[in-house]
Amino acid sequence: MLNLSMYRSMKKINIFLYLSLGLIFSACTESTENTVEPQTNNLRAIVVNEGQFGYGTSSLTTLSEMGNVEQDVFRRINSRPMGDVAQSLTKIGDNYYVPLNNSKKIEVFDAKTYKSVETMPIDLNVIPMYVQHLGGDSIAVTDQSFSSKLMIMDINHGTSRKMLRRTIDMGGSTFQMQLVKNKLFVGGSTVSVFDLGNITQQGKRTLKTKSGETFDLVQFSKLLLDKQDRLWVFGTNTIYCFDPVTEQCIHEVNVSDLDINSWVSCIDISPDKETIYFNSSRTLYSIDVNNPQTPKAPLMQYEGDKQKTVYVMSVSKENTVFFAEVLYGSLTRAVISEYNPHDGSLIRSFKAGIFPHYIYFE
Amino acid sequence: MSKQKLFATVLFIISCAYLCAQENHERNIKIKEVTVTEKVKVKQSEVGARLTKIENAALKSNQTRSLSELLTEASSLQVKSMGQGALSTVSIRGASSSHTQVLWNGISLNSPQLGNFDFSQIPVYFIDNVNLYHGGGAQGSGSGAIGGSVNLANSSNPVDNPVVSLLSEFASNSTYSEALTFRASKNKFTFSTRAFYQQSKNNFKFWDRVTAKDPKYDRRKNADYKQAGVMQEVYYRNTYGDLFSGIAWWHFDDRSLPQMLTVAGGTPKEKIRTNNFRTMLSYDANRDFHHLKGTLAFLSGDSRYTKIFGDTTRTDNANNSVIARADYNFSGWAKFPVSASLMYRFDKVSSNNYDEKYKTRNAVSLQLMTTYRLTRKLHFDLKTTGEMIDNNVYGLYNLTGRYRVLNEYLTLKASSNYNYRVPSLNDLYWNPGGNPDLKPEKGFSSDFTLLSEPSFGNFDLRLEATYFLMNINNWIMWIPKGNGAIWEPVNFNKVRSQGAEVNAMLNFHCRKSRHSLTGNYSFTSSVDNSGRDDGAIGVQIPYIPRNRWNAGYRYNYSDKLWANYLIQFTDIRNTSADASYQTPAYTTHNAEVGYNLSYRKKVKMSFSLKVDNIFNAYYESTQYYPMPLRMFWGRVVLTIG
Repeated sequence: MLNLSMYRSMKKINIFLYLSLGLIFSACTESTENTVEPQTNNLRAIVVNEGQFGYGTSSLTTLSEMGNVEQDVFRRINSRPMGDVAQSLTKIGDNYYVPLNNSKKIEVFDAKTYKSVETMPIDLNVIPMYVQHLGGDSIAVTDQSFSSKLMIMDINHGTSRKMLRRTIDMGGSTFQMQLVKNKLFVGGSTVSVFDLGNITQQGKRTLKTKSGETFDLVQFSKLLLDKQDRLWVFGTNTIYCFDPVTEQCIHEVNVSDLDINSWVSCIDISPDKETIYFNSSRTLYSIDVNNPQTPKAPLMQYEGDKQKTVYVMSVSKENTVFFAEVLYGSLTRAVISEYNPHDGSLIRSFKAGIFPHYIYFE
Repeated sequence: MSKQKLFATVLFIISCAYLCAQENHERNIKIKEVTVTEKVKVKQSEVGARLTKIENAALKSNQTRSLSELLTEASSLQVKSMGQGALSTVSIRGASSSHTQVLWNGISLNSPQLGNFDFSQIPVYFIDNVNLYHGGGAQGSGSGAIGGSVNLANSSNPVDNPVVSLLSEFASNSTYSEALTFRASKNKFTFSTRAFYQQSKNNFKFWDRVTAKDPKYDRRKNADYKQAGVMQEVYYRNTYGDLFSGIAWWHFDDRSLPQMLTVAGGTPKEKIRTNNFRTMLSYDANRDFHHLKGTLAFLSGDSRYTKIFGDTTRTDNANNSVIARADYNFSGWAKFPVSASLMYRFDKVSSNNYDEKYKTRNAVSLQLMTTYRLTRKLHFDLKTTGEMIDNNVYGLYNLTGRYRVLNEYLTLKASSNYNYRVPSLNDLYWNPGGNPDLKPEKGFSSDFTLLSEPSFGNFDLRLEATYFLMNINNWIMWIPKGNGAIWEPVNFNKVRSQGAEVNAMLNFHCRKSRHSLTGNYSFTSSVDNSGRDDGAIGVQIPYIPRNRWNAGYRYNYSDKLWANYLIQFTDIRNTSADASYQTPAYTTHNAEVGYNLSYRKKVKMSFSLKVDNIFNAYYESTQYYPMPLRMFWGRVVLTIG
């Protein structure tokens, strides 16, 4: 039998219990995201970061002319993640278009405010990579799948029109594109070409070397236009120059002795469109488009952390070179370093997101 | 309890404690009326170990749930789940999920192919006891248990009368469970049959702030699952008290794999079907000071992954393991009991992704163990294990001590150990990427525990607090190789983990009312200690929360009416190594109320209603894999016998 004092003790314990539970309940709050003003004035570059595959950590890093860096711009302004494995960024009109390959979508957001305009889902078994504006309401989207499709889509936002108009089977993976002389060139396992008014299965042609063979491109590499609107592409052992009108190969520059990595070497062109830059890890080479020859010596090279890998090289509007280095296996922010290619001096370094894959210069 | 019975109990414990090679070994036929209480039971395996025993009430309440849901609710272990019915892994003390060993009646269930264990595939209905060993030194856990082990056991207890129990449960999101148990004892035999079936559309509602421009409520798609299982147990105890056991357990699981929320476009239909068949025969003999136990087990599992997106892709895997184990114990030297365990294990794994049709692994291990009882209050325990795995020889040790300072008011425990985990067969042989040059992961750990178990009148308190420190080297991670096209596992990380675990339980009763307050708290600082210049040094490793706790209150009135209330909290977790990305902290509240009816003591009916996530908290155990909002579970159990 319990006596009176024990009953009182029990009562006190109950009160204490209820109070504790009440305090715990009241401690539950919902976290809120910080919002920021977008860095649109004096914008110099936007870095598109893949994030770690399967983690939804794609992001955008902006760099201003004053050197200010803002991380995770899309997420912080829109209070939601951008998605999984962002690949590139293309400006069309007042909007930016970012394909996210593992999210199977294209995020469209305002170029001034970074506020989301539309999410374009892609209901196909594809890996969307790059966007090319074809004029009007049409875009072309490439696909990294081994049996890839070139997707022709409608960007007339806010309407109920079907976004995907048609697809063209491309064979191997496809990456970057270039529009010139009313033709669409699509880089990938090979370089395909379409007349702009006939982007169809039947209208597909393939560029060939001087000896009439098809060739492989370095993964993800850009298709560049020089000042004479000639097309330069980065083959795994050779840099090719094509006349976009005749679709004939004009120059072939052998780079097979330069230790090109077909997955992470990059190619770009100077702002005056007279010098081609390409890299083998931390070594940068250049080719004069007016006198294309195999480089005898590097233009510049720098020491870096040997544990890291150069993931992206890109040339800015100021003719400086950005190298992004990542440490495989480490889910951490990459470091981007800007160099003067002519004297090899380091201009700045800054952190971007996880696995930067594309640098867009305003 | 009379003095004679108490005396008999103490004698029984002293003579038999060292004979128990298994944590749940039960040999109570001669004095089966004696209740062996936790306070006086110090098994050899528990001398200095940090052990959490999951309460029976928690097991009963979670009968139709998975082991991962049970551990989330009733322990401070870190559970990472991709949703109800989906892949769930458990890590202990900041180690990886591969560093948690899962043992079923002493036999490791970890996949030889993957190294880890999917906790969603074990319904609690098939388990009678769950003990959690924190740290790498638990007896019988063997190599691989760098973080600790989860020990599951079935009870061989006989019953006075045949018992049939039928369970039906209906829950939100079209979730249905049916279960049947039959248990009977006759002529020294005990038979038990359990069958379980559960299916769910699992199309739960969640608050979508991820996929589209404007947040909205949505329903989870492609998350349906069904599972079924049957377990047959047969026990025979001869006149000497020797126990023969035979258990056969089949479990089937068929589930869809939902996509992460960031996928907006077309999603493939992905499914995985698994079949697991586990059998075990054991003989447990006791003669004077000698105790011998022999176990033979066969584990067979196959899985088929199917992806339908235009084309259909299939991946088939099959695992078969044979384990033979002998445990011998000699307790003739009262102060110096010794024991030895010899185990052989053969694993054969077939996969579409191996160069050869299948890969095998042979492992032989010998464990020697001794306890030195320096005084009545001070015990030391030393275990050393030598293991030969595919012609490579490894060793591990564990040294623990226990000092009873002040009767039940204060006991000090400490342990120091070295453990390791050999790479899984996928780590070694997966094509593409497998790396046959991988070294084993190594874990050095130590801990110090204060234990207090006083009783005051109607109050029983148990308070246990532990500080631990662990260093893990050669941590295996899959990273992109060379050009990034192929991923391969490498010995990449060093991790230093330290923290505290607190477990508290207060039971008190007042007339017919029984109250129980429980709390588990863990603080874990598990940081990258690799020395690489990548911004991750000193940062909490992904998916290990610094703080995790749960607290519960249970009320029982006269074994007729009961109610539970449980709160659990999981702190912010990093999802990138440099803490740039995180998934938010969350708190959930669950409640259950139930009532028992009985008719002539032979027929009992139990009704219960459970509400999970009462306050509709949006939360993710794995980032961008939402967990259900409020869910209701209604259960009826009919027991005859």
